Amino acid sequence: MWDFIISFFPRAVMQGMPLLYGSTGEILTEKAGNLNLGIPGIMYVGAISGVIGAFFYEQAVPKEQMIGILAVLIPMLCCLLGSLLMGLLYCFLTVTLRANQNVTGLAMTMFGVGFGNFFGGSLIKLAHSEVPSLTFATTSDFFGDGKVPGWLAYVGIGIAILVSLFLRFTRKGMQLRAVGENPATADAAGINVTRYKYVATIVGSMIAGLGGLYYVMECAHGTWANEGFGDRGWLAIALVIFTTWRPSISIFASILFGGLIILSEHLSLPLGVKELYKLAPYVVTLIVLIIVSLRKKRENQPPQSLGLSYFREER
Amino acid sequence: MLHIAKRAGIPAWKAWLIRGGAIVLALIVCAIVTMIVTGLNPITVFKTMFDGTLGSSRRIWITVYRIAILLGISLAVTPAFKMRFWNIGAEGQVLIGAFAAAVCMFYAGKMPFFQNPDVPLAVKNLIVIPCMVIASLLAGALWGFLPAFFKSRWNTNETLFTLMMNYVALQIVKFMIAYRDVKYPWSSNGTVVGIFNSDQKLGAYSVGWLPEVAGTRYLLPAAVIGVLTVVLYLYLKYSKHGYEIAVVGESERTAMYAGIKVNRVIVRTMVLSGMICGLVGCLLVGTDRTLTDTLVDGRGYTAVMVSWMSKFNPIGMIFSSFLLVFMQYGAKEVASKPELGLNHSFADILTGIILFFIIGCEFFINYQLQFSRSKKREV
Repeated sequence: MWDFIISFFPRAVMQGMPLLYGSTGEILTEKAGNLNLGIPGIMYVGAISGVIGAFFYEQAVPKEQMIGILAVLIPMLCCLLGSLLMGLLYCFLTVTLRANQNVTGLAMTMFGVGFGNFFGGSLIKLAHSEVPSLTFATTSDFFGDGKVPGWLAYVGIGIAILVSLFLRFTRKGMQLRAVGENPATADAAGINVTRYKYVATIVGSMIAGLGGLYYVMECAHGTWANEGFGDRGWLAIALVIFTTWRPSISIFASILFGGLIILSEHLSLPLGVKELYKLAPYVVTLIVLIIVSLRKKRENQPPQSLGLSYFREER
Repeated sequence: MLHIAKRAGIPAWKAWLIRGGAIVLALIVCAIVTMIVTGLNPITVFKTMFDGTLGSSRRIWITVYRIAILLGISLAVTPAFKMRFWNIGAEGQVLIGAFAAAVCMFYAGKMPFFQNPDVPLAVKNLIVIPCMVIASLLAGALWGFLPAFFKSRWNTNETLFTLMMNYVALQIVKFMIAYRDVKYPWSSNGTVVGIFNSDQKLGAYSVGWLPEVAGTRYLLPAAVIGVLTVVLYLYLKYSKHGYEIAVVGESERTAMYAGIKVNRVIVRTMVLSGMICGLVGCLLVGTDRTLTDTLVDGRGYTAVMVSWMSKFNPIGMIFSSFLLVFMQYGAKEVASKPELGLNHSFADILTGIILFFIIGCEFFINYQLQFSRSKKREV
């Protein structure tokens, strides 16, 4: 039993961390009133941008001469840049052009997943690999050994704690929440609504993008396969509801979800039942969503203006 | 100084002109992106897309069928959207409808009555197909009812609710495909379900397949969706229900004061939405004659965008569906040509670009930019 826990827990953490990154980013975004359904796409773009960076660095430099700090920084910066651009696009469309957030988000997910798989496919072709996947064993070794969570996992937990503290205790965090609750009031109080929405959404996207990179470098241990990331982006959004918009709870909840993801591999279930078992995270989220709305506790509710565009002259 | 003001109104032709301009602009950007990424002449690429979707009569039929399916799902989400109920669960509603129809088709093929070769096929189908339709309508209705019920009772967030329901439906379908029922397993290897009732030697051959009309199996679903388009247009525009939906969408309070039972309208409309989705699922299964977990293939989400970019106008949706089907499947056709060296995800990138332009152009329809000249005088 003890052995089971020892082998199980680190893997649950590793499976959970991409979800933690995704949900932390989405919470920050939603607290500013933007329901970014493009998170799954952004995570794909973040992952593939990092992969592209790693790919070209590995191609350019022989294995022995690779410098740890560069091997880590290049993919990370590429990943941050890719997800920053996605966040910027989302903000431009929804905040500046006041487009419908649901539609924009769905379009971004479609675009992002396509982008990831397209460039992933192109890289696989470039590398002339025989299997439909790419491996960056050298680069991913700098991120961790693939058995226990590497340093990027601790960064993720750190970011979640920081975001949690930021939203709760700082002036800027409270103003951000005010924007999400009621932008008109925030505007009247002299808060620059547009700037808060932009910054929160872009930073949120970058955090989520890192989740994509984490998945490739640690969960998959440096292997990119098209569609490999799967529907983790949607699970991250589910996690936002599950934790009632609290990144600090998300740390534990994401590990729980991660455990749910890999538990099916540890249990010997018949093939079909395994699929049914994968229902668990979604059903649990649905139940939480219903209970939260039933109890009507004020601090558990979604931000009031979530999903609505703000136009000053329309108050 | 740049100043943004809301337009009071814009003539319809002008709005469509802006949208048309945005699409042309988007196509130009797509052409440039194609050129940069692949180094191919965009004319060649567009020509391949054209050939792939409209090149032969068979391809035209498949394209018509795909347009019909996308249009059907778009129609289904429209009443809910008009009510400002953000139903992004069409994916799951269609899939669960398809699942219900597939269950009927599959287990009917195992019953002695349907295996009896002496009973004419027409009689068997007269029993099975209505069962399939009813089952899929009920399943879709259930998937629509649940989020609506919780929304109307306790104001549960419907976007997130319907999103989760998509995955519930998906996992149920995956379960059924993978499950090795001792007596009647759905698939031999746990991943792929073959064509249902496809064994010509058995009496149950082709039970539950939607009939071919005029030599093609794609005409019937297209015709059903065509009728549905007209009916829904009339329903939304001229019926009392359609009016109530519009009022609830404009303002729930107004609706309440006008004596409209808002909760009832929400539930009723979502059940309708789910039922249409279920019907589309039934058409998919009846025409494809099989069930896969990628049967809907993201079209539930695409439909949200089709409905929205056509301003919930069923006639506009025909054109939007055509555009998106042409781009998506055309790009897939391009990708299938090894000499062009693209993969099928390129379709999603192009579709995404077009959508961004269409989403962005709405701004110029709803708002106008004014350049104030007063600043100059001050200087």
